[in-house]
Amino acid sequence: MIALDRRLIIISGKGGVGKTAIATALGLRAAAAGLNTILCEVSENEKIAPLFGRAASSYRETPLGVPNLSSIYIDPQESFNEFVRRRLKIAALWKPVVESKLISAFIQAAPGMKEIMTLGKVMELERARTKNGEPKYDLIILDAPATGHGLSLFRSPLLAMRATKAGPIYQKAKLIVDLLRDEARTRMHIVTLAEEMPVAETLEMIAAIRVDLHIPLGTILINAVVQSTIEPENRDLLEAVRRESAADPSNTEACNAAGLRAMMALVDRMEGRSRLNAQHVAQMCDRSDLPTLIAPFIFDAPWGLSSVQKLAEAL
Amino acid sequence: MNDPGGASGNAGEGVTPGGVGQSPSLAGLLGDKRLIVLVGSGGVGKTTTSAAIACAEAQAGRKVLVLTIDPARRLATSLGLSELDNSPRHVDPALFHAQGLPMKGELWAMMLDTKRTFDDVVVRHAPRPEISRKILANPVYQQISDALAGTQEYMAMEQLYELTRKDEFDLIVVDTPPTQHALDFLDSPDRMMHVLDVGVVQKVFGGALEAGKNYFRWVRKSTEVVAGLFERLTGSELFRDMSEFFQAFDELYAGFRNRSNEVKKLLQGDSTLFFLVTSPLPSHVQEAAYFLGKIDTYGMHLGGFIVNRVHPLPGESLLEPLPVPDARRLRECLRDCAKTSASESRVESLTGNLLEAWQRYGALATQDRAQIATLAAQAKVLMKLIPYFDADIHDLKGLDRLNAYLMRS
Repeated sequence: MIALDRRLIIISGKGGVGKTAIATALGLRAAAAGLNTILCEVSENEKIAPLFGRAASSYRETPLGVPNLSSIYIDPQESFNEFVRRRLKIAALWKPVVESKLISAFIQAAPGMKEIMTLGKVMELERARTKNGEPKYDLIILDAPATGHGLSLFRSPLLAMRATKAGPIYQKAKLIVDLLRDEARTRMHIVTLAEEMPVAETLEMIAAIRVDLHIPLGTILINAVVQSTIEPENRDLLEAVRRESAADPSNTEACNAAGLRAMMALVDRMEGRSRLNAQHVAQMCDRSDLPTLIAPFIFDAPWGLSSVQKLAEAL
Repeated sequence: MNDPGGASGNAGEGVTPGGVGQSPSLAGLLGDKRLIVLVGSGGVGKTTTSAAIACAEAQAGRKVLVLTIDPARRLATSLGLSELDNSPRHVDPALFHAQGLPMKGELWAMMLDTKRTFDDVVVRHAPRPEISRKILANPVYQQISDALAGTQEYMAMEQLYELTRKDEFDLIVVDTPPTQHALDFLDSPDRMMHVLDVGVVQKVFGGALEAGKNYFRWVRKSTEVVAGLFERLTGSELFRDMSEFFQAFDELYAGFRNRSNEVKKLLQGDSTLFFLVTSPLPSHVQEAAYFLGKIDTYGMHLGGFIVNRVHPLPGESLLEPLPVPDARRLRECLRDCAKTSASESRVESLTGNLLEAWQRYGALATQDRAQIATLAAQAKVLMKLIPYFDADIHDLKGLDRLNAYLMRS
């Protein structure tokens, strides 16, 4: 069981490890348990809303057709515009800023600005309250970006604080840092694979977070672990069949015809993969003090919402 | 069948699917090229594939440099280098000989250090030392040189410019950063320039400093307003640093533009080939289509697709339909082989286990083929299929194994 006991859950990890699938699966589970949940994506190439058959959310809190579950793509430009509108209040003031071509250049060039705007929106979702003062969302799941271990996003408020030293952006960055470091509100889980490089990189990432980010860490989620389909008590029989089918030529022929030979090769391949995975799972557990959780490989093709539901059940 | 390489059957062969036509060999394609660029999503094996291609060409007798961007420390270790830094390092040929592998040429490796490259560029091209000192000390520069999206890609271009200008290698193999960044990499000559394009930014930041000097009145008026608003938002410190940075940088701007145009020409040239690396996962194949569009838009030459991590099925071509195993015959066969040593229920249970393995693995293999066919339909180019290896590739032996599939004609 992975703990969803903080309002802000960050799903982090290297590219291609299945962060979005895991984040979505956790969202489904939380929503089913009655928590009002929003999934936040930070990549322009939105994946979650389309998975639920919806149009891209484009910076709108978009219900996903499942009770208690929404998603949003946090567009830093939109978030910046929102920030400017709120700060400068009068249209005559914010309009030239928001509409100026300079804005996009500024967001690109100013240190950490894009990231501040992204995280600022996450912070707002965390603070949003309904009319009767209840939190609008019980759970905010942030599907963190893959780039540079995904950490540059979380480091940028620190950079911005250093660069600005005072002023509205400094204050915003400070609030973000406070939220990210708050044991009571935030928890980061790291997704990885049971392969050599991902394991090594996860360890590096944990070390890096502990150096200066100090985001409270939760569980290491080892995704897409292949498990053998051969039950342990059937292994002896499988080996006996393997020996026998190779020993007797007439058997061999019959077995080939029945597809046994191809089947054996395929099973060997799967077993090889599951052995390799098991080794790296053991390594991950050995080399880190964080709790680990295994998510099985979901053998689904094509991958779809039902696959994520299976993953949610398996978690 | 018990293939220690874990790649049984002909799964890894350079199968050219669906009437794509005669497939030339990869080595043949590379023969007269001077620059190879590998693009693709994250996690598809670009770094490893780049290293393998560089190895193969060096082993065949050329002087090859592999320029990697991902900090893959294992790669450095596997090449016998204690570290990869911002300059080319020669890989000891003895390492190849020790593994019984030939090495007729020279293999060099380097890893891009974005910040150091940027510093070097500033120092090398600043018109006066005080300008470079001013830039290097500026807090905004320090952030940009490290963290600005696109900087890495842009510096890869600068590094390529230097390397090709020196002309010390027969072939340079470039590994690119993952996904969205790889797009920046293709865009970088223009994109980074857009960010630093003083045209807009400078008017405001530069104008703010120069206000009162020789500025047209209307320019000063409008920039002052916007600049003033910015200052209210960001605080005066950041604003001042940015102004200073863009002013100092203005002097380097023309040089940046010239070099990036040179590199763009180089990338579009006949001696350069792009390879699209992908896995058969639908998301990666979708992204591959996007890269393909980019390569086309920029008028660059596509050498082919390299599809890593293909789930192979034994004993048949990757592209034929998957035969559904006959449960009854399989059960009989198991029973015959097991003789009396196993109970009927045990045989039944194992049959179930085997069929489940087939079903699971078969689903992936079938999807892989469909995706490969989709990819093949998009461009009539070389396609190399590499199986999902049962072990991580992180040494010369591993790269050699990969090359057995890549270089096979």
